[in-house]
Amino acid sequence: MTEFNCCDAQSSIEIGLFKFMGVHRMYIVFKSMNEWLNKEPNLRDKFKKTYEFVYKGAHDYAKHMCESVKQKSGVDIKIEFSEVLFKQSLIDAFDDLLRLKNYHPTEEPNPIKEMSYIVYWLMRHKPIRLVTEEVISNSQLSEIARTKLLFINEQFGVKLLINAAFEGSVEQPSCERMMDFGRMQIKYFKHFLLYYLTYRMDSPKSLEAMMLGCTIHPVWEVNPIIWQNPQVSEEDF
Amino acid sequence: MHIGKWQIMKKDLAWFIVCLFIVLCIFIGLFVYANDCATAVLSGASTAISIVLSIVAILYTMIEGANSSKINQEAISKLNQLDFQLEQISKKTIEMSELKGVLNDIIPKINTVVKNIEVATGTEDLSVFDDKTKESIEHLRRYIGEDIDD
Repeated sequence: MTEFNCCDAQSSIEIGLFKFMGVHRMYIVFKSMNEWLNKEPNLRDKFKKTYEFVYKGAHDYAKHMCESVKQKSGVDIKIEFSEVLFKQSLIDAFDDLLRLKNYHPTEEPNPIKEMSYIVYWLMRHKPIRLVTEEVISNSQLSEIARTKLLFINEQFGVKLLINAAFEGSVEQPSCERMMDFGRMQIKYFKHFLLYYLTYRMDSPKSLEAMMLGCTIHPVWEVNPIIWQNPQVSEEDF
Repeated sequence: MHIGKWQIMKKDLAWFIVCLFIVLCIFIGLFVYANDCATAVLSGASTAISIVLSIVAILYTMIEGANSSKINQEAISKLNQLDFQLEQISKKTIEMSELKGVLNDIIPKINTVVKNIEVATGTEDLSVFDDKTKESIEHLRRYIGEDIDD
């Protein structure tokens, strides 16, 4: 049994710019994960839990993709998961979120904002890699399945974002009459999100805005934390 | 220089020429100055030559016989060695086939154990997380488990 622990001795890399002879150069500082998490003791537990959650999700996702392809085409595929790149993605996301927290009067970021930053950095560093690339040209798989395999990181990002907005895909009882249409909308939205993450994503804030927008009048129940107190809007952001 | 199986050295050649010169001198002396003795000398010489040649032939046969016997001995020892190696290989082959039988018996059992471990870890690995994280993972799994054709 694997215990997912982000407080091990793995190093993190902090990258920044310094000015030397009038030219900005990149510098890299290697730190242990513990040292990095101690930057913000109040959010340490939250970051640790988020790390564990996304880490476990990534492993489940890779396993599910392997099983699905095996089931549909009989082909064994191999998916690699870079823990170093994954950790770096989370560290970069948490760094961004810390900057936001220091600027805005909020205790902790809402799930959509948090996941938007995480997904943004996962898309930048791409920790998941499809090793068995020839499966992309396997005609036994549907076009959308092959697209999801080709953009395997982006598809994982779609699942994280949708889960952040609609935790657990619970359908709204009030929308029963238009549920079929709602399901079609969600399906289209997921495909659009995959396309957006692949070709159009430019910032975490655009992701956040898009995801927040799709929680208005949803067919699925929205994560209750997101709209818990809309009257005092400045406290939510 | 080699003549047949003999290796002729320069020293041997020199001695041969010296001996030939002496013999020629004796024969020339005999034929030129003592005709009566020549017949006796020739008869004695031919007898001596035939005796020497016979001895050489006997010695040659003995040496060749000894050599061939030595070669046979080497061949026999090599054959014995091969025989021993074949015996060893046969023993190893028997051991391997026995091992294969054991492996054929064990591998399915190991596979079953591995599957059981996988099933056990797959169902219980969430126990290392706290309740909130566990719940979040369960929620995410609903999306992860969606059909890839959808």
